[in-house]
Amino acid sequence: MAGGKKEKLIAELERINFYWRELSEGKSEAELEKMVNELKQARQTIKSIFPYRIMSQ
Amino acid sequence: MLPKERVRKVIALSKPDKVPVAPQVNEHAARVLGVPYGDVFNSAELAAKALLKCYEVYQGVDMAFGGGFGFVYYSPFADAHSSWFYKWKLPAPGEDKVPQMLEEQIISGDQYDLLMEKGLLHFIRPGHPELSQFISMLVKMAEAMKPAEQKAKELGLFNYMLSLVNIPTDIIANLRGLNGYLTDFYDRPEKIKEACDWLVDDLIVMGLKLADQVVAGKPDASRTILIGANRASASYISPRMFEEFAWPYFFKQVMAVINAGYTPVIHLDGNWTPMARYFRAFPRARCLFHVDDQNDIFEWKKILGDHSALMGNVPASVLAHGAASEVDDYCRKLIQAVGEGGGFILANACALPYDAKVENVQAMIRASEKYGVY
Repeated sequence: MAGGKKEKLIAELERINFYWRELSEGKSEAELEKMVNELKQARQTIKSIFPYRIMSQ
Repeated sequence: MLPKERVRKVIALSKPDKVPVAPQVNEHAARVLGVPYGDVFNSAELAAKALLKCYEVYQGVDMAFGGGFGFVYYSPFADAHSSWFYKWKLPAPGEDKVPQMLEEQIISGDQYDLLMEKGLLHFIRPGHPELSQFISMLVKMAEAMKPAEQKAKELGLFNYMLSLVNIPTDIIANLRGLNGYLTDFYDRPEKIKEACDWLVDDLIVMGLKLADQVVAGKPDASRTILIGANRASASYISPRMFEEFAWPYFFKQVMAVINAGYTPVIHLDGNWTPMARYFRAFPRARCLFHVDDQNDIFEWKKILGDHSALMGNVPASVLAHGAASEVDDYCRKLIQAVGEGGGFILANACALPYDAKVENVQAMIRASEKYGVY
């Protein structure tokens, strides 16, 4: 199950970031989870500052 | 006559009392203060101190000084300077270097659809700045810059820019890297147009909204928006390619800025002389063209001098390595030829080089007084 979660996190990272391979390399599940959450938070905040289609669909 | 009135007269193509002079100090401000640029880049207080020092050393200018502090590189704005999306080597405190973009191919030619499907936030780089760092820098800057802004207000200076709009092809060039960008004109021209269509309206709205926000806080500021362009110049593509791939978007952006009640300051890096004739399509006496030293500004005067104001273009090499007498001589030629009849602002090309000699910048300012009185 733990492996399944890591794969899901990598899939989520791939969905939200172009550099997902580089970012996920050698990362633990906990590190991945933290990274995905931080990226999502940053994206959400930037999107609220710049609510434009070219920033995010 | 207040400096800002002098500049407005130039843009309106009526003759002021003298040729305005407008060095853009940017990174050079650190040299004037006598500290490594990395110190100014990383400290809003030092950056403000450097600008105030410039007002003391460079008296007699007509435009406000800006730049220096590095917050723009930490901004997640869709601009080439953002280290959220592009690879930059930024100076650390104590380091006497200017920021350097390490240009690379970010997306492949097959990934235009991915870009348009996902948006720029999909391309946030590993090691990007912290959002909290950007917000903290913004807050610090707003507070620290107040004395410099007050000084500019007291002097009645014109604001060079309140906001900016990038042209779509520059963003594409930054994402594809120069080689990819240039080959795409042949391999996938429709994708370039598709991406430009996707980018153009949001780039306009982003620039206008930012300007509106600044104006709300500074109602007496000169209403200017910088339209920055480089990779659609004749240094990279032909006028025919410009006409097909860049001009329709460029025109739309400039007209949107004018129609919103702002003055477009069209900041052109690279050689745009072969494209100057296109710009007669804009309304007369509404734009300011700031051209860099790859442009033949004397030719620009012939092509566009009766139509729009010109600004420039003392070469960086002369300001950094020439003698003050050479700067004086160069400025005299510019004033006499390009300044004839009005419509001209004496300035550096692009921005002052970091290592410009202080006596050379002073020589440029003095030249506007010696030769520029109408």
